[in-house]
Parts: sequence; structure tokens; C-alpha cells
Amino acid sequence: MRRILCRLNRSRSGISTILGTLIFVGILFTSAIPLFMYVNQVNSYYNKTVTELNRFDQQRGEEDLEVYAYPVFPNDTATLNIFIRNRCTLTITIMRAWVNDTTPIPTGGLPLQLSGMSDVTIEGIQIPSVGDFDVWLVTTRGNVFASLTNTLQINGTSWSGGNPPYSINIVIDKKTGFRSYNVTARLGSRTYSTTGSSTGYNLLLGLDIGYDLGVYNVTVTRTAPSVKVIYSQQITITLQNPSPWAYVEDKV
Amino acid sequence: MMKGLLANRKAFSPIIATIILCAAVLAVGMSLWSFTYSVSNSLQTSYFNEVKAEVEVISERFTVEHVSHDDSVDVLHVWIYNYGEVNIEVDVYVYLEGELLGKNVTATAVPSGELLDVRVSVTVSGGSSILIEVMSRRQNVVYETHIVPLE
Repeated sequence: MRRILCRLNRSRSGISTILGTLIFVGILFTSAIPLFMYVNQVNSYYNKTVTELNRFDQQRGEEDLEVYAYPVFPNDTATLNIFIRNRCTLTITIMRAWVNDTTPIPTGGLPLQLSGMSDVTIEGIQIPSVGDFDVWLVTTRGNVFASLTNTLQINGTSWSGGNPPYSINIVIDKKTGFRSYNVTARLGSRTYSTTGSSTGYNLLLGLDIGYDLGVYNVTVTRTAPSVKVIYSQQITITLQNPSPWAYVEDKV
Repeated sequence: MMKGLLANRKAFSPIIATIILCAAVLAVGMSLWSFTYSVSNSLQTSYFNEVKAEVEVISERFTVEHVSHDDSVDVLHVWIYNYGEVNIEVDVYVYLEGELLGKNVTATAVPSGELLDVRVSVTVSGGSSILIEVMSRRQNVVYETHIVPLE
């Protein structure tokens, strides 16, 4: 007994040190380290969210649709069709179609998924047979795409649009010095033409041709300093290729 | 033996002192442990709430999808589409040439993925170009311009 008491007496300051150390280690493992790990986890969650949002914004910026709204007139009524071409590689989901201030539901319904670089026609939107109509589409990523044929002006059985969507673009690779040109496109009885001149190496002439799809006979004529037909070809305009380009050389 | 032990009675005080010291260390240590643990938990909760609030701020995504003016009742319809993943509350302000023309500051709730028509009473003539400011309660702002059609 005396020996035990003597031992206790000798090592009394060590016990409290050990207890203190144990408590310190306990605090470290139950409070400090979990806090550090938790903060790291929360930071990872934040960084992950930021990355996902950046990706979402990037995809939103990449969305690219070509929209052409046009009416058809079956049985003395007007029905609106919307041809949509997805010009990006992403799959786009179309949420809504707006016609003026309403969001009508087409045949087949919406939303509609459109794979990358594909096209589809939304059909069967009932509209009055007379009036002006603005059409646009909204995607799930929050983009709004207006129809290139806005504003549609429908009058019973015929229609026209505010801005002609179809055009033929001619790039003339020419000799330097003043030269002027005339571009003519013919489809049946319709003729469209434009003129332009340049003193540089090349010249771009855009020819708006309204709403008629088909095969156009396109002629480019140099009108100054001398007259010469430098290009005569057929160019086809389709919904898939509404604005074809042609390259013409005039180096002589 | 007993006699010897009693003769060395001074040995009792160091033992008691040791026990008291251990008890004190344990008491202070446990209090400190408990305090640290609760502070740690509190810090975790507040830090998570702060980060969550910040994530909600940066996650907000909304756009003005369509605007139309009903001149018969002088009401501007502003369709707001929330294409983000968090619900939002918005106020709408309408300006004409820098001056506030009308506002709707009722914190209209727009759930995630929904389209909502927010109405603002404004008197504006056809042909005017107005600026629409949509501000969320998390201080994100979207602007839209609109030309009121001629009657």
C-alpha cells in the first residue's frame, strides 16, 4: 500500500497531462477535423454548381435555330406551320410557340425535342385567315427564336412576310479597278435583280428573292467597263438551303 | 503497518490533490470539448447556409419571354420564364426615357420551369420605346426593351 501511494505521489502531475492530451485529441477529431472536411465538401458542392451553370450557359449560347413560319389554307381556313432547323449539335427542346400574344398548342403538342442538325415542322396551329402575325419559339434553355418570316401578313388565301428570308449571295472575285455588275435571278415569270460596283479585289452582292422556293436561273453580267456575261447557272433554293452562295471569277 | 501508514499521513494530501487536478482537467476539458463541438456545428450550419444562399443567387436564370400592352386597360403584360432550377420572386419596373412609368413590387413568385404573366399598370402611347427591368429578390436583374405598337 505504501508502495502504491508512493508511486501515485511520484506521477501525480502526469495523469492530468494525459487527460488533457486525450481531451485535446478528442476535440481535434470530433470538432476541428470534421469541420475542415465539411467545409471542403461544401466548397466542392459550390464549385460543382458553378461548373454546371457555366456548362449550361455555354450550351444556351450554342443554341441556334432557324425558324420559318408559313400558313397553309386547307378548306378555306388558315393553319400555321413552322419549319424549324436546328443548326447546332445540341439537342434542343422547344417549350412554347408564340403567335402574337398567345401560346397555341400545335398538332402533336409541345414540348418537342429536336436533335442536333435536324429539322422538323410543327403543324396545325389554327389562326385567323386574315391578319398580321409574329411567331417565335422558346426553348427550355431560355432562348427565344423569332421566325425569319415575321411579320406574316395573311390575307385570305395568300401571304407575305416582313423580311424576305431567301436570298442568293454572289461573291465576285475580280480584277482590281472599277467594275460594275448586274445580278439577275429568274423563276418562272418572276425576276429579281441587283447591281453593284467595286474598285477592289472582290464584291459581294446579295439578292433578296422573297418566298419562292425553286430553281433559279442566275445570271451575273459585268456592265462596266465592258459588257460581258460572266456567270449563268441554276441555283436551287430550299428550306434546307435558303441562302445559297455562288462564287464567280472575273479576273480577265 | 497501520501505525506506519498513519505516521505517514502527509501522503494523503498529494493523492487528493491529484484527484482534484484530474477532476478539474476533466471538467474544464469536457466543457471546452462541448463548447468546441457546438461552435463547430454552428459554423457548419451557418457556412452551409451562406454557400447555399450564394448558390441560389448564381443559379437564378430567368428571361422576359414576351411583352404586350393592353391599351384598353393600360396594362403591360410581362411574361417571365424561369428556366433556372430555383424558384424566384421578382419585381418589375417600367421606364420611359429614364423615368419610372410603373412598377409591380409584389415579389411575384415564379416557380422553376414556369412562365408567368406579371402585370404592370402603365399609361403609354403607341410607338414609345420602354425599358422593362425585372429584378429578383436575390438582386439579379434582366432588362428588356419593348416598342409599344401603334394603335
